[in-house]
Amino acid sequence: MDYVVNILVFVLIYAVLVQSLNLIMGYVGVISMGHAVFSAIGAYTAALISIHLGYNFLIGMAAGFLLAAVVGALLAIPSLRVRDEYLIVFTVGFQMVAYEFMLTARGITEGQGGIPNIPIPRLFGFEFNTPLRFLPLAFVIGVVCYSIVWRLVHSPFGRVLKAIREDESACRALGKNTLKFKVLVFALSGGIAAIAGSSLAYFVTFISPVSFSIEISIFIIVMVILGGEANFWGPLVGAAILVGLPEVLRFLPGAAGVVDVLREIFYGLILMLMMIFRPQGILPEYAAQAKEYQVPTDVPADGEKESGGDGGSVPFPDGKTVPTPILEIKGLSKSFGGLQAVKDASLTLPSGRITGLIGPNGCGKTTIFNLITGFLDADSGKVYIRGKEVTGRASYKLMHDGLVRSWQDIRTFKDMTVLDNVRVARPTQSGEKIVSLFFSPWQVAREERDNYGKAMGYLKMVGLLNKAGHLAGNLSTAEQKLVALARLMATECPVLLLDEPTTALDPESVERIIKLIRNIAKQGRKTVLLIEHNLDVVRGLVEEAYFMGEGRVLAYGDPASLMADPKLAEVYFGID
Amino acid sequence: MLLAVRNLEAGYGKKQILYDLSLSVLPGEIVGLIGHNGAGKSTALQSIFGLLTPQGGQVLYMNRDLTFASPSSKLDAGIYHLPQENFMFSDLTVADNLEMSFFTMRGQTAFQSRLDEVCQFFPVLKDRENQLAGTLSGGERRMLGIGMGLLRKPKLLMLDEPSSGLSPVLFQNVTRIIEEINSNLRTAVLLVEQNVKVAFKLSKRVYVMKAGHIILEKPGAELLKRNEWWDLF
Amino acid sequence: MRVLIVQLLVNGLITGSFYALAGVTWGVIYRTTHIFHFAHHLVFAAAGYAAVLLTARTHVNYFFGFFAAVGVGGLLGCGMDAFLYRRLRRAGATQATTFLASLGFGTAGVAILLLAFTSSPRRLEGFPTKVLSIGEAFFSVADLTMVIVSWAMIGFLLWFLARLRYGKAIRAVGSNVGMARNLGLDIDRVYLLVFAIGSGLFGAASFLFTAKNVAYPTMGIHPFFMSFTAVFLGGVSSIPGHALAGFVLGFAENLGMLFLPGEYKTMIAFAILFVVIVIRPEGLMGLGRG
Repeated sequence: MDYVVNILVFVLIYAVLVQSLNLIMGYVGVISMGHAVFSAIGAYTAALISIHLGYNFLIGMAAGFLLAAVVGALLAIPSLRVRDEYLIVFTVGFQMVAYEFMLTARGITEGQGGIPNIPIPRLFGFEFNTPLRFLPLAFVIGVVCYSIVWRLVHSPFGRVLKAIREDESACRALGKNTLKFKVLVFALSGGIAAIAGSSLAYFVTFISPVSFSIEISIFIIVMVILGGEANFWGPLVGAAILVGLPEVLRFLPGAAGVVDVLREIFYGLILMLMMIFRPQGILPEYAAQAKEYQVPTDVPADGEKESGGDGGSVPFPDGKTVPTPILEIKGLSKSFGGLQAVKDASLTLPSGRITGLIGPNGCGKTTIFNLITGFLDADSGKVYIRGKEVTGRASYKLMHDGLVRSWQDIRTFKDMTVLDNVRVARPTQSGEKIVSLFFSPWQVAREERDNYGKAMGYLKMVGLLNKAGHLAGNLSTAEQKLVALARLMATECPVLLLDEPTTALDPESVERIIKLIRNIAKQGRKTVLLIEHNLDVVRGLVEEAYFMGEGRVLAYGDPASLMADPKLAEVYFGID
Repeated sequence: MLLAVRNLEAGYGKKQILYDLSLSVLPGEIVGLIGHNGAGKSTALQSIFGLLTPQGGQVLYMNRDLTFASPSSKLDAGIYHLPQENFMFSDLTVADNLEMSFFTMRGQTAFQSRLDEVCQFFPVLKDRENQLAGTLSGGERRMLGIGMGLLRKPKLLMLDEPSSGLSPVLFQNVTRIIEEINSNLRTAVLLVEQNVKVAFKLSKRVYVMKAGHIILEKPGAELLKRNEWWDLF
Repeated sequence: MRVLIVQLLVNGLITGSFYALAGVTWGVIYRTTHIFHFAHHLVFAAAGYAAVLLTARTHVNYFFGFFAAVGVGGLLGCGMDAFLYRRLRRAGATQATTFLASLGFGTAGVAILLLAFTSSPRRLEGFPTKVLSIGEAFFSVADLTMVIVSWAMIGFLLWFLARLRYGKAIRAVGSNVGMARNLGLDIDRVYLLVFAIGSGLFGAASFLFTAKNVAYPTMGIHPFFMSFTAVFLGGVSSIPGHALAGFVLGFAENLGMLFLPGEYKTMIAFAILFVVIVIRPEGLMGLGRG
């Protein structure tokens, strides 16, 4: 009986450990080959504090949590500078260095022999000294940790995490400081892993490096994969199967000596076979299913009536107002190697109008877009929004200055619902701040209700209300472009930069998008800068346009007069 | 009829780029394909050549149905596709690049004799044969790209914007070479171009694409006579 | 003290040569296919056991063990591409997915070796155990063989890639796979070849290792870690860079012992890698990210 309880405690502890890895692996999309190290930090910190300082186990756990959170946050930073395969290398290095440290820093960790005689946890005189007594404690720890993760994941914060995983650049363009989110998640992930580690220390009352080796890190990965990445209950399922099942094997005759080896074979095969046949895990990702949404009955017909569209009239001290150009660039230049992509470009975007940016291929239009929106650094020149200089500002900050962009390759968050795509773009959500999330739940709930209604309103405006619960990736190209437009509107930004909004669309959809952009611009009094190659779209939509050639701004005027200019024709069609 | 493309549809997953595309190339002819950026010109070449699997329609070459044939088969049949960018191996020498082009060549043809022929067209390739391709200038790279194509002695050469990134002078050179290849070797050319005037000058017939469709087909000479072409874009 | 330094230099030369070979074997695979082939360590172990078992069971000259190691290594690597990686490629798997599958295969494979042969180490029978010296530094015949054969193998690989038709094809695919496809190259076949060569050479490295040490199921882990450290340190796109970086790692590992106790060996290597990745991700000799 004790034996079974023992297993249950281990399952619970590992369920917490695996959930902590799931936070970064499933929700942020980072594979860490060194997650066992955070567990080690928790275990060793707790052990040392309880043995040498004699504090209560809760203090030991809290200390482990904090230390691991700090290390996790620090680890996030290089993890964000490098990606993919480099990250694997980096985390392997992290694991190996930490493991060597555990083995060699005998003064602290007592080396290979480990630390025995960890004080049994006690609370108000009650000692958790048997598996049966420890079980409720482990259960409570599990519930607390899972609740924290639940709250985090099923919240605006969690929504942003998913968006980061889907397409980090697109997420930044919507105004989210993705670095901050990732660092927080890494910290929390490390901290929760430490809780699991310290629980292990207090339960077994003995720890040694072998419990925190790379094999264990791999083991944790296997459990995440088995249960299903980004599935909330996945870690519990994974832990139950991979910690519980092999114990069952022990009862088979002759299995005793080889159980551990068989377990390794089992893990390896699971990992391999899962990748081949079912990479998404046993349980499907919770959110990755179409949902039926209750459409609120009071959705306004044309969505938004908020401010933001006013082009901008700055009152002067004498009370008179002067219209400020909403977006202005002066003398912008950028070269790549020897190639001058943009040369001394200046343009002024009149507020409340749709302005085009046209020119032959390679004339620098996309580069200018990237320079304005913070995805490239200019060699020289300045960018102003409403008179305020924003040159070189990070892309995510520009949204708060009122500027947002769309992408030539759409970039909807494919594994998120259409509604969530739009909701994540809503500005100033207190639910995206961890402190508000846990300490001001009513405010968060209120904002969620508001944003739900607003998002539905935008979807109604683009005609996708009935697809709110669908995954964005399942929609047609035309529909995804509509989602992207709704997403832009949701930011309430007055300045929209649209990058080839009609590429790869059939003529009907092109017409639909043109009408929609016109409506959005007029109703919301938005200022639009539009890159387009399809001159039909330019003629139909744009009031004035800037003509570029070879990195320079050559002319400005309405499309008809631009096209009547023989010099511009030469630039566009080529010279003999 | 050398190449006959009928009602070709292609795209990337859900994103359809080509709608009902039909065009033809006669032996020894230069045919132009122009249109605004994003109209699908490169996609057309890629799906004709088999780098992108067509989602509908047919590609007939010398009366054989090659719609789903691989690039390897298309090369054997005598078609060569020169992409707009990334059309060479920067880390390999010029000589090695040319050798790679010859790699899947079937039959007894001698590499060296073919190489000599190509170097007659492009002496600069002989001069730079041991230089890393990545260190070549823009114009030289284009020569290498075309040279790699010539090595296969194709019956149909599909060129994707050979003028891109070149100065007017260099481009004139390339234009002249395309003409020579066509007149001396009787190679048909399907020419995608951004510089429409040159496309009109070189091509016997020109197809105009807009948003994935062919909207016009006219003789090059006729289009050249016009003053402006804004309606084509 | 001087004696110690000379000995450490000699050891550095030996280890450096070994890591240099390990580096190019993984590097050529990674550079060409961009598959994070974690199961490379299994190839090392399987090859080592092949050599040991062949000589133990049949009592042939250890020389044949070399070919057994290369053959088994090459076949295993090749087989992994044909049956695992190719399948994942067809299904459009991401690099992360392929990495995890590779991780799983390697883990299971090593456990199978453990099950079949237990963890007791095996020696390579019959290999000469004579000890030689240069000045006051000592090394064994196995050590000398390791240095000579490692550089011979590295030289062979570089020659193959530079001169032979298929070697150039491998480099072409590594340089621009899209254009390789455009030229009609059979990419699957090139991948198979590069796995065969890279794995076969790693098998050779395993033979050299076993001759000097012993064979045991997890023997491939440390050499594999050193190999990919060398690749990322030297820069993915430059195969000579992998050899150079591997050599530097081996050297630093040994000379480092002048300043730190021997147990910190692995830490040194990873600490170097750590720092380089953060400061200069393209590596010491890299020309950008592969």
